[in-house]
Amino acid sequence: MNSPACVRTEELTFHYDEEIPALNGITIEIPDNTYLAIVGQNGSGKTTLVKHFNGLLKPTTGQVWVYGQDTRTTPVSQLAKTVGYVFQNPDHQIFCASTREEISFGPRNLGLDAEEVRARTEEALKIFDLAQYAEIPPAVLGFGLRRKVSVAAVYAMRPQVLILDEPTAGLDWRSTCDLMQLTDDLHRQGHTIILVSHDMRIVAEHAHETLVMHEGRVLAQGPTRGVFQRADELRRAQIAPPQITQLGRRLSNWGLTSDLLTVSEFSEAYKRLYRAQP
Amino acid sequence: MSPIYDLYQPGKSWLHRLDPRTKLLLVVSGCTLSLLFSNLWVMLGLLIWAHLSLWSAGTTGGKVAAIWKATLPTMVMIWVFWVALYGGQGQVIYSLGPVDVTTYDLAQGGAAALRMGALAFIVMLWLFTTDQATLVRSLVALGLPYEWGLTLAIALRYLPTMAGVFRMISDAQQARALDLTKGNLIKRARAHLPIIVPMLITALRTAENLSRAMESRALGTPRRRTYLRHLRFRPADLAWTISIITITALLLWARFALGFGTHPLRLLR
Repeated sequence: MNSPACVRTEELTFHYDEEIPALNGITIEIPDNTYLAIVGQNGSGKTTLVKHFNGLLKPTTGQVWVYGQDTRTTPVSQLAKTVGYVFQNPDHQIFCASTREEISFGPRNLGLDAEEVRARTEEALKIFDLAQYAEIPPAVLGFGLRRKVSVAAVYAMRPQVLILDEPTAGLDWRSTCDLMQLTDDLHRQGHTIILVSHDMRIVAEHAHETLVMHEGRVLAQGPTRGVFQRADELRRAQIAPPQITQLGRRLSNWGLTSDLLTVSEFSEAYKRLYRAQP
Repeated sequence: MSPIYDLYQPGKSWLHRLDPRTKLLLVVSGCTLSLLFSNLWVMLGLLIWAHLSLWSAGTTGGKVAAIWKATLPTMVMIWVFWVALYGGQGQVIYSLGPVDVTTYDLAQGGAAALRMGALAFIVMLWLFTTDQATLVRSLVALGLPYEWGLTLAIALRYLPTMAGVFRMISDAQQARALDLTKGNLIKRARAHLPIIVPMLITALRTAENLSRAMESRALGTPRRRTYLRHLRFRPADLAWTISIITITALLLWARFALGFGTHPLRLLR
């Protein structure tokens, strides 16, 4: 079945200043219910690209459509109903006197009735395990919890598309696993997840599709397993595949496949190999 | 990639080479004159002079445009309010309800608005062409305690950064469907609360982190400071200083003795 495109760009070019374009002629299509990772060096244009998906930035030339809506003519507050965006720094959005109030801010802006706002807020508090902090000002919570609050606040708006800009930066491994598990759950429920990340292990374990950016252009896009095989493009974008993929590749002479993405895939392949030994 | 917010633009122009203390004298004189005169043509002259100076210092058009973008709304507001509230002097050229618009008021309001622009651009002569270290160095050389000079320089340095943070927070809240365009002035001002609170929190966190970072690099140890770069007062700086003082004194004399530049339209009383 062909799923409709949730985001489509055509010859998207964007300039912060007159000289170098931050994005240079990007034409991509992101189907609905994709789990897409966008990777690339600092300054490659990842954040600039995703800021076009909810209209925060408007193309200098070219076009961007979100479910058929042209982002140049649709207000950000309108696009926010379908595209949720969690910013890199949680402190850039936290302002309420309690976590509960913080989470209900987005749903209230959507003009939902009081009962619906309450239900969504309580659900987000529960799912993100924040109920015990509901009455505490989110600004005084630790960094990991502040990050969770910022994701929960956007989740409560139930956007069809959720953009997470480096959501795991500064998080410990446990919080990272919890957060990524939640994104997997949302994807299973039918949401589109767009993840900007520098952590290739997380990309390999969670994203089904990957898009590689370099100097404002798309170098590669496709299923994550395939993208991590494209050594030339990855080298150009100065990206190393996850260590477990590299290990699998080095051991390919002994019969392991070179396209292993996760530790569990590796151990399964290794077990099969070991059992097959005479 | 985010745009970089910094005021200083490196260069080798006459303004860059000028001793920062002389440059400060130039800026203070320029600002004093802007505040003492209320003539449209004098203000226009000061504004044009500031622009020519910035142009000769190689300031990019983008930077000049950014200052215009920041000051123009205030300038227009000053002009409109001046004409509306202080109206009624001279010959009426247009009546709009209770407000009588006169040439005198238009000129006086225009001078007040241009004064705002002149002040902004004259201060920018200093900030666009002096890097942070030199700025602090010059203030300390003039007798300001080092910590105070540093505080001032950091405050100036962080203004554009905070403008960037403001934009970022505004984006983050708009992505949560915050609409800043709806409603009357009071509603719109209230809608900015979700931006102002994170601004304050971010500013406080930045201040705390910055002070810790500076302390951990031994700021405040009670020893006599040495400096890597020494300010040099060259003969050219002396010539500039004498010229600035002479011209300012002449203009002040003309202002107080002859009434030069006090009428909004006529140069002499």
